[in-house]
Amino acid sequence: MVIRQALDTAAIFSASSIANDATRMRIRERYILARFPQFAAQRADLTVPEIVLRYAHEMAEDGLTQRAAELMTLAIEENRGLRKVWLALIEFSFLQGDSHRLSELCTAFKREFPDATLEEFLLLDGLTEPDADIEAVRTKLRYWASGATVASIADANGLRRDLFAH
Amino acid sequence: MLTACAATYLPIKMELVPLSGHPSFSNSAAPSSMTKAHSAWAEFFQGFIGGSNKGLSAALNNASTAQRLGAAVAEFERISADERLSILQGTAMASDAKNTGADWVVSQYAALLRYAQQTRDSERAHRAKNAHKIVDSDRPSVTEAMLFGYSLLLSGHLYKWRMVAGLQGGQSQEHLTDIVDQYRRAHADGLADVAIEIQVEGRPIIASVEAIFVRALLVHRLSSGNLNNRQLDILDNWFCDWMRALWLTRDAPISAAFAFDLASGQGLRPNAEDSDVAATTPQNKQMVYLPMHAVQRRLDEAVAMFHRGKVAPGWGLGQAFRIEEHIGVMDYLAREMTSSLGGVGSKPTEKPTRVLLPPDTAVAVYVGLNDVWSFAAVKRATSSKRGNGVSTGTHAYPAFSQKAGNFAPIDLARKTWPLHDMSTTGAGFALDHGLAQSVETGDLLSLTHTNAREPIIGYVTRKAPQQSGNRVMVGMQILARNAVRITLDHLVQPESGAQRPGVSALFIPGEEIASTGQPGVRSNISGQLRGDDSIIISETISKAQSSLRLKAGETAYTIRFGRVRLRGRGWNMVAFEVVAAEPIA
Repeated sequence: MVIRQALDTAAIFSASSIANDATRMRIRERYILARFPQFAAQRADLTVPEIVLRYAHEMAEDGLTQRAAELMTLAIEENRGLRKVWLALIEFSFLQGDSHRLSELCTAFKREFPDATLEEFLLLDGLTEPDADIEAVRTKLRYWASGATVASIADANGLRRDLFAH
Repeated sequence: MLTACAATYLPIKMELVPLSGHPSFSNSAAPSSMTKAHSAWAEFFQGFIGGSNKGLSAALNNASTAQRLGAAVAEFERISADERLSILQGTAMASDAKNTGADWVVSQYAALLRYAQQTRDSERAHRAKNAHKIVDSDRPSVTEAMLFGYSLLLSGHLYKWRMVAGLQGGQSQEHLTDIVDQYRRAHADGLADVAIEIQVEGRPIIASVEAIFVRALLVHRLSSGNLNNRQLDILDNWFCDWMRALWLTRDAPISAAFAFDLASGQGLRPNAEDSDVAATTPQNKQMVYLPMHAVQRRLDEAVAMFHRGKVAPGWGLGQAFRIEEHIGVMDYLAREMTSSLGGVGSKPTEKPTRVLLPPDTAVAVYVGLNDVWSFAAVKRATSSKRGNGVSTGTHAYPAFSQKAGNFAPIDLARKTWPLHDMSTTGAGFALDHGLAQSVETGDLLSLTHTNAREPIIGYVTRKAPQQSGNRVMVGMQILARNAVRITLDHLVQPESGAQRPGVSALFIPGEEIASTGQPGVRSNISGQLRGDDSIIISETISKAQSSLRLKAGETAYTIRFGRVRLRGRGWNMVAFEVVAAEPIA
């Protein structure tokens, strides 16, 4: 019951919570620009889903999967309304097999977007039972991540490419 | 009570480093603040091992030997903090004073370690002799556990500082044997699982003796010369902070793990690697495992701290270091875990064959992006309409292009290094300590072999003293054999009409291009670039500029930088794409 156990874990951090602390904001800014210097000139790009997802996709292609996930996390921390990035990160965590992170994110996503009928996803047996029907879970994840109809996506692993396409 | 008994066999005779004879005091270059710190510590420590409580808190008057030792370690770290910080922040061209300071730190940690071990042994001997008289058996266990803990902690400190001082080769077996022996004895006494409070950089940390042992193993495993001194200290502080979560298991975990054989005393190894061996000779092994997800979770927490505007772990000398140093440690640790622990059943990557070279093999080397760009005979792209496109010829180094009869200017940047070994992906140099001081992990290098027309571009991935002998092994990872020297122009020039100087950079062809051995550069500097092509550019420029212009042949390409693929000391290797191509007017 991975997901249910994680329901009370802390949600994703919000950068706005330290907006009044100049020192911490400065360290965060320094960190972001040192870690992802491509945002130095256009800092606002970090809140543009298409740009974030493109970079994340390229990093994943370079084998820098942890850094790709971190970039998406930073973007969400900057603007929690980036639904597309949320869903891409959830899908990414799933494909990475990081069940702990996946359950954290699903919980946080549900809190952030209460209008989303995520219950449908959470009630799936797929992630909560040992003999999970992985394909069923993937199908569901794709549905949530893309907002498109399931039938329009053929490749089980193709969601990221679809999301990242630009 | 043990504490009362303990006072009867203290003080222990210690061999101190004579104050007047220490090199620090015969070195006129040593700053006065340094000598004051040495004097203050020497006075304190001499009094301390003589049984004096001078300098210790009054609360420690009736404390156990272990608690007094903890206070002494904290006092040393307080007194020496400025000097240790200065040593770690020193540049590669360390001064004599800094070298001497590092030796002093090593000698003092060694003295504290000797004290801890002797006190521990005395405590054990005393308990064995008076076992029938001791009623309160809990107190001796905690005191001895603390002494074991401090012995292991100080062993880790000593190993790290010997690396900093250049006195120890990476992963020395002697050090490992010592800490394993200490842990075995603690385990045999039933003390491995006892939770104790220890002091690290003045911060109290509660950890088990076993966790302190794990930290020492991790320092040993991961400080093999791949990190510079500052990064090594940062990594060690992380390990110390994570000790509360580092637990060994006796059963092989399903997930990836580091494995350690207590029987053989061999260092931490990837689980997958060892599982094959365990299947064949399980009887001879006493395997313990450190699940990798425990380390990964702590690393994730460290990253999250930076997201929250705090420098992980929130204490220690590393708080003063540049963010880039911390990021270097994150990358290194993530890379180590990914490469060596791909998961159960994964096989280690096959290493390319390394060819040892004759002792007198020497090559010309330039260090740093500026010197590599300015002096190394890298192919260069012509940047005007008059040119013939990207040159595939060799740019002759100015000193070699002088007409006969003229003296070539002395090239101070050029270094001649003895080449120790070579493979398809890397090179190894065996440098004396003087030469080794001019280079640090992460430095960009160019190497020109006598048989090669063009230099090889790479960077330093490892620097560690040899196990034997007085040389330092420097490892270089090759990035490109056919790099191109380019100059990038700013898109916007000042209104005053003055031209902003061009930006020096190196074009690094992608893996496919490099593997074919074909120049093929021109076809890559056009159109929409994806794939593996990259540009090496200074760290400062890559942060300040997102787009620059490259003139090649008759075309001016506007280049937009993308993600950083690799970072080194002062340089980034960035992906890029061409967003516009216009004919040069």
